[in-house]
Amino acid sequence: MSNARKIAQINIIINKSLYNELQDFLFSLGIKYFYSTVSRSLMLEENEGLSRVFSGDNTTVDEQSVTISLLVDKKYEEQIIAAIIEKMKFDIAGRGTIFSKEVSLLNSNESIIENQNLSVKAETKKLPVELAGIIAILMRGEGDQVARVSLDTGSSVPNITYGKGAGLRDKIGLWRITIPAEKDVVTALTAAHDVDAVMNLMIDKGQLDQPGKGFIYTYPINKGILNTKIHIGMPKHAASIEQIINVIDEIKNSSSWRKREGYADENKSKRKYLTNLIEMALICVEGFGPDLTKIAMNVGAPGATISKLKLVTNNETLSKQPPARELCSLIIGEALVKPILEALEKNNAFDNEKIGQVLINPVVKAFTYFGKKK
Amino acid sequence: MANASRQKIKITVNEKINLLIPYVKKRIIEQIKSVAVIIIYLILFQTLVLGIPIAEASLIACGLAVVIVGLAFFMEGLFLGLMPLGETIGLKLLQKSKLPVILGFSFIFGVGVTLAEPAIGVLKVAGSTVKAWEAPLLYLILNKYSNWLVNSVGLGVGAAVLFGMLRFIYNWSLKPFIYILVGFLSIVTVLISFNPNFIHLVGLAWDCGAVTTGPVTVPLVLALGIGICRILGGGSSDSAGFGVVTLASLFPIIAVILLGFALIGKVPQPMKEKDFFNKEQISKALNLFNNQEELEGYLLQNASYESQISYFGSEENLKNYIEKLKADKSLQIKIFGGAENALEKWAINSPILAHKQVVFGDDDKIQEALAKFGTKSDMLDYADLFKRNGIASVQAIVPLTIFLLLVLFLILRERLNNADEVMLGILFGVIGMFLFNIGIELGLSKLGGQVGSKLPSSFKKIELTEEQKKISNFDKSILQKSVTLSGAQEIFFIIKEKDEYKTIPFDEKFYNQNTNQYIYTPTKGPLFGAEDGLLGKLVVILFAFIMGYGATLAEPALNALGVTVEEITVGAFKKSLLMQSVALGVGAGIAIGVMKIIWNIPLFWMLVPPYILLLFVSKISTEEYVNIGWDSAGVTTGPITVPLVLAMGLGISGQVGGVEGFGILSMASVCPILSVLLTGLYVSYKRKKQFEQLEQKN
Repeated sequence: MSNARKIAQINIIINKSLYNELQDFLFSLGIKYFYSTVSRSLMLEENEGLSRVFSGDNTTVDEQSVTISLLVDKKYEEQIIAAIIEKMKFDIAGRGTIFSKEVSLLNSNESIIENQNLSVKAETKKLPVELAGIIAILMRGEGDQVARVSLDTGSSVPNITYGKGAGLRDKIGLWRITIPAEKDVVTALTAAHDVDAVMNLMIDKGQLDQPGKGFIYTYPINKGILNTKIHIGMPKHAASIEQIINVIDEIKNSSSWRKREGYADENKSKRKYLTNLIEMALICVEGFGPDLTKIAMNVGAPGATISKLKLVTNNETLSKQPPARELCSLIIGEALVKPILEALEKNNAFDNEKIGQVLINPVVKAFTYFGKKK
Repeated sequence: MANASRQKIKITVNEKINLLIPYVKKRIIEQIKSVAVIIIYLILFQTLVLGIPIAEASLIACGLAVVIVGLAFFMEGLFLGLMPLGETIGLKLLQKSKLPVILGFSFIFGVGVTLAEPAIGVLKVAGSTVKAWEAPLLYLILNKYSNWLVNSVGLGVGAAVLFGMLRFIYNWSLKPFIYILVGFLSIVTVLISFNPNFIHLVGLAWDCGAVTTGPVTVPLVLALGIGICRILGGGSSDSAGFGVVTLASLFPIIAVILLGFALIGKVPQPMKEKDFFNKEQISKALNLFNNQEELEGYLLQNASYESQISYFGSEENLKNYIEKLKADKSLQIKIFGGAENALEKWAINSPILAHKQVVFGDDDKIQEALAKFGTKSDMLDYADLFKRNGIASVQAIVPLTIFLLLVLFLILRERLNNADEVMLGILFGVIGMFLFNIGIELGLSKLGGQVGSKLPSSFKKIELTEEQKKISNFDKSILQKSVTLSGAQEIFFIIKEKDEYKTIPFDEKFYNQNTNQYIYTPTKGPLFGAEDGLLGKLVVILFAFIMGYGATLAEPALNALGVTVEEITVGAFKKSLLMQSVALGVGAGIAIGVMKIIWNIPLFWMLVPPYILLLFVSKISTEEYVNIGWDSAGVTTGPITVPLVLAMGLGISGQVGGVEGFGILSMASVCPILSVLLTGLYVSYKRKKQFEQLEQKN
């Protein structure tokens, strides 16, 4: 099948202890399959006593979470989001995050096209905040400090997953083992008007303007709700600042009143961003990712981040497939989309063994070290 | 996909060096960090607190450096080679094979892992020190039936891996296994009070459980489980994959005890040495040996003169027997084995003068023979050291790897991703293990042994036998008399050593009239407080704690477990949290174990209450923490902890007069489980409170 079409990718980040409830609910809506991966959310905890002296006002606390990615026909998008928010009480800060983005399904093994024929009836309402997404790919161990920017700016609870980098490393034979491939992938959501400021702060914090530090990009989000439960512990006031902000957002039906002024540092606003890029997600059975990535790289892709996914399904045919999958995430120029797709098709990436699937969506802005300025 | 990997970039030598330096540096520093606590502590304690200069310091320092390089190689080998291989097999096994194949593989894998484990051989060596009359059952199992022992431990581990996989496939909880197995072990503990033969066997059984979970087994078993759990379970169950290690340390205990039950009918009760070799019951004693000659050899080499006479009937008969032995070469071989001059060496080392006289003749001949056969070689045989460890490390890794590769290629018909990397990893693993074992032998065990034997000097006076000095031309006229407050007289003399004058108490038995030599042994201690004082004992206990803590942080298997846990929880369960809680647990366990030796607390009280507490804590803990907690207990008793702990345990019990060093190791297994589970309970309590707040607020 090769007729590319727009579908909705709904991502849910949820506390691990709530996962089973969500899984059952998704199946009850008629969802045939989704992808899941174990992740980690960060929150702030106020320090007390002596630890305040040594580690500042707050320390970050980890929370095990599960990240779910769900492909559905666009017509169900709003209803599913509404149903999940209602069922899982995502309108309460701290229960989880849900957001959707519009992606193009370029090609897919027939068995795992987007979920259709769902039985979902929910009252949709306009969600107050317009959102944008940020993804930062950093060396393993450096994700936390970048993720903390999202907490310190009060944006949302960030989420970290693990990945492995592929690129130059794979072209130098066994010497590759000397270059660490392990990556932290930080996912954060912000209000749309805030995204540039937060991204800039993340670039500062992660020193992404230095060579070899990592890559950061932003992408549009269609609909969603943030997890603003940034602080752990009992609030000291009748309502927490997050609650107050939520209420004002709701009253104003927008979050633009929160736009931060005065951040724009002369120097930093001169940063040159990459635009007109595409995020390409290639999902396949675990074990084929590195080879398929190499095929894409031979056509011109600069590299990829490979992370592990699990196919969760209650469908009889799908459960006969190997559930261990790989997500190869590539950031490429528009011109490369076609040749990569053709190369993948030529190498049977979508057959019943590799069970490939290729999705693309636009990247708004991207940044990394470009080499010395001339 | 043939063209996929053909694009290669050539890199220059300079670039290679630039790549290699940070890579090597990072790994070496990592290992220095993990070994640092234990090394700094041992050295500081030796030089500052105990004040005994480290003999052979340079050799030990070399050994420690080799340990660090070895660990760096070995860990890299695990992460590059062995663990990816195990994970791939776990992943593919479930996709491609039916249940019987999976179970068959698991079982064979478990048995193979055990046979490859070098520490199993150590148990056999330990058998030579067991006295047949004190622990007949243990003696029988460690000597005549030592192959049965290894096989039953292998069966135990095989069954453990098999049940471990069944657990994953059918999503069984680990808790019932723990209840049943630990329950069974408790019953056995009760049985001990009825049958003294079992007392010694249970100690061995626990040690078997501990040695099976070595630095090769644990990472492989973990990786296998994680591979399998990538296939199974819901979307959030990726943090499964643990628990096999726990079963692999519990099942062998049961297997060894069952072996004990099977053989108990063949052995006599423990008894006094003299009764053991008595004519009336010798037929029962004969059961412990392959034949009469072996028994006689054992008698001559290990038993007292009295027992030997009792066995042969009279002194005359014994003498005749030795005469016969001297004449009959083939009998010699039957009795002492095929070693060269075995009879002469035996006679020299035998404390019984009569035997020497029979074998060599008069006093002069004996002196002559003493010079010829009596020199013990203290020289380290490097060729032997390298050969032995080389073989051991190849044996531990290569056959197992070949088996896994065969399964992968022939049964699963799968290819191996990054095969070159895996092969390099396996090579690193072998090199690492080789260096690591050599380093341990040269460095850590020596250092541990020295500290261990001198540690008791903190609370009592000990003799430093290796610093023994000979005074020639000793003139008794220099002896002086002193008097105590109560009026008792003591004889002493003054010695000048390195411009220092010291008074030494005189003891007639160290004076040799014929040679005019006086042998004097320097003493040390008590360093803290009075003889047998509480302060000194507390210092020892504190030392034991920190030693256990430091050694645990350096354990390779625990490091691998920590990395794995952190990896599959995406960092939510930090390696450092796990390592710290396990290390604190081991430290506490070893401290308690030392208390057992110092104050001679019965083993029952050391094991039963903690295990009851443990069962209770396991019951209320989450499945995740129960798996990780119990697994980490299995990996704590590894190649670094065991020699250090044993050396210390033996050192202290040797000075205090106890015999069992066993209690320490078992405490070192119980306490870390408790500490990990308690940490888990604390974390989940905090989390629950957060959630409750959340619900309340809205």
